[in-house]
Amino acid sequence: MTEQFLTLGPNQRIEALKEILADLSPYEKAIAKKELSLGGSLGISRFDILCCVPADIAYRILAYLRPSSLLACRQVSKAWRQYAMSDRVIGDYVKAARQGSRIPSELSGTHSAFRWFADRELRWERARPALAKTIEVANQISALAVGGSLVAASCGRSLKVWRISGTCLRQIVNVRANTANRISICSSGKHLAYSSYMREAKVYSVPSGNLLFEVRSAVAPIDQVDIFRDLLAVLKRGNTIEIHNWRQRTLITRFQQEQSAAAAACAMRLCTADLLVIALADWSVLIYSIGQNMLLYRWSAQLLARAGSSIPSADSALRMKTAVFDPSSALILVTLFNKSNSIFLAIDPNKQRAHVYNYCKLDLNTLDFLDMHFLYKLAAYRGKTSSPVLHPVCCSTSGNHLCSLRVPRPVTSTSDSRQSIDAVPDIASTDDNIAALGFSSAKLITIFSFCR
Amino acid sequence: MIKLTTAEGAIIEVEREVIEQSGTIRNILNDVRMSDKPIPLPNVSGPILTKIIQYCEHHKNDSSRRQLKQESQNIENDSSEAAIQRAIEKMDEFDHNFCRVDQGTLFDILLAANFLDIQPLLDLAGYTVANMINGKTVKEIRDTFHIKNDFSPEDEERVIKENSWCENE
Repeated sequence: MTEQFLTLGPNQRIEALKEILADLSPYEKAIAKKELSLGGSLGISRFDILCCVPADIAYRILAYLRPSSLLACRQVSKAWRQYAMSDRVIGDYVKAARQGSRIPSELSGTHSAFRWFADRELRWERARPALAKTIEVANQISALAVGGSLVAASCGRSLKVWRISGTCLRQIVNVRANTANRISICSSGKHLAYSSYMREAKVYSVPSGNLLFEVRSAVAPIDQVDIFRDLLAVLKRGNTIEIHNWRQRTLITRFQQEQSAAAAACAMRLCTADLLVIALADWSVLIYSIGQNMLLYRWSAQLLARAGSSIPSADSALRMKTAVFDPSSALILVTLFNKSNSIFLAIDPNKQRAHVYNYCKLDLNTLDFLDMHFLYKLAAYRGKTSSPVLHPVCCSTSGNHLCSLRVPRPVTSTSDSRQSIDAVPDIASTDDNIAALGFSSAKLITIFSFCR
Repeated sequence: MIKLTTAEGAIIEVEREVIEQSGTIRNILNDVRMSDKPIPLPNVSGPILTKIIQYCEHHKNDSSRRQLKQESQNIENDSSEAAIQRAIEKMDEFDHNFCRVDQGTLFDILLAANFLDIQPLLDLAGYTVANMINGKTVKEIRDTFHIKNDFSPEDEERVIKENSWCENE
């Protein structure tokens, strides 16, 4: 009889089984029921295809899913959740997504932004740094910046630039300059801009170290400076923004924001050659197009109105903003935070809409640094906790956060061993591949590079 | 001709060229000298093996598919994903009909394709399952696969909350 049963097709088998079950006595039915439930997931009553196939196949199936469906799978059952959140699926998924080969047509803009962050997060999480080095400098570090394969630091009255190539770190620029409060490296890696406490902003070429352009402010100190290709954006205290074309040495436009204490511009970033994003202290974001001779107001997002009154604007000023234009989704990704709150926004400049991806309370006591490229640890994505937390490298609060970056202790190049990774950096800057941490008092800079 | 013994003990004959699409059989044939002894496949039932042979027969002249496989072996891992993608695009009418089966059969095909190491079939079946999930709500997925929601209410609330931030489209 068993032989006959085995020759049937799966559908017929189920029918045959049903027939057999129907003919059982109550006692036999009870036994059968017990047996089937003991069979667990293999029981016919609970045929769960994902959990019955070998794990390799399950991963393969999940890799074919759209992001929204992958998220849905996490809600299906505990076993599915485990699969859908495994590092392997996310890894495969991100890998496929990066190639853009598998899912692109179905991904809307917001999803590719989500992918972009996930991708970046994964890189930090998985990779071991190719380079981990600590450099001793002669003076206090007042500004740090990373970009491309460059690390720039202002130490006392000198401006130093290092280039990372693979596992080597080489100093390529060392010029005398005033103490900088902010450095910005051009994405081409050939120029950098800095603003100093002496009310000046300068553009240097790298690696020659030549001064290419200089602009001075008569009265107002320069708070922010940003360089994007030929454009140099300068933010002066009192909400004056100047956009220069430093190559042609022309002032494209000067723009005065309405002066009010609550809405002081506190961060500014050139996203692309024609988009300027400004964050005000009242948590609103302004987007401008840079026209031929003017700054065109495009759109502003009032986050306070969006996120309700839950953002206490008074307790501390808005600290930092990252504004990146993600070309694949045509969204501007902005992160803002102060000492206790953070917001990650994706703004669609064309449709004039913003998605508040994420609003969270920071549990960290002091986030006190000047400039940092902001990385989210998408904990929600990885599902480890319900609220997203900052990426460890962004936290200069305690050594613990840094240690959790899973990087090996950097070998200190100096005999001074009191400075280890456990110490708290005063200033830091990170981008996709490089993290630079400055220890002002110890006059040390630690650089991690994940470039290979 | 190659003889295969199914799980039930029945013997099925198949052309060598056809069944060589299975990596497992290819390896066995390479290791063992040609003999008349049937190859036992204790994990594969008769109906499923018949179906798989149908698939292999349909694709036996798919030189492009084999080339893809070789290409993907030559180039590094990343591009093999692209190769899979191209294989998916190459799916024809036969493939689509082939996968129009109930879940039990699909499950058996997945297991057999895995055991026999027929990568294009594994992709095809895996893709079919994924398509059964894609675009469905959580409840629909549970219904489709007869899954019991084993989250406690608190857990479920937490899980939903966790996902909510990326569902604001």
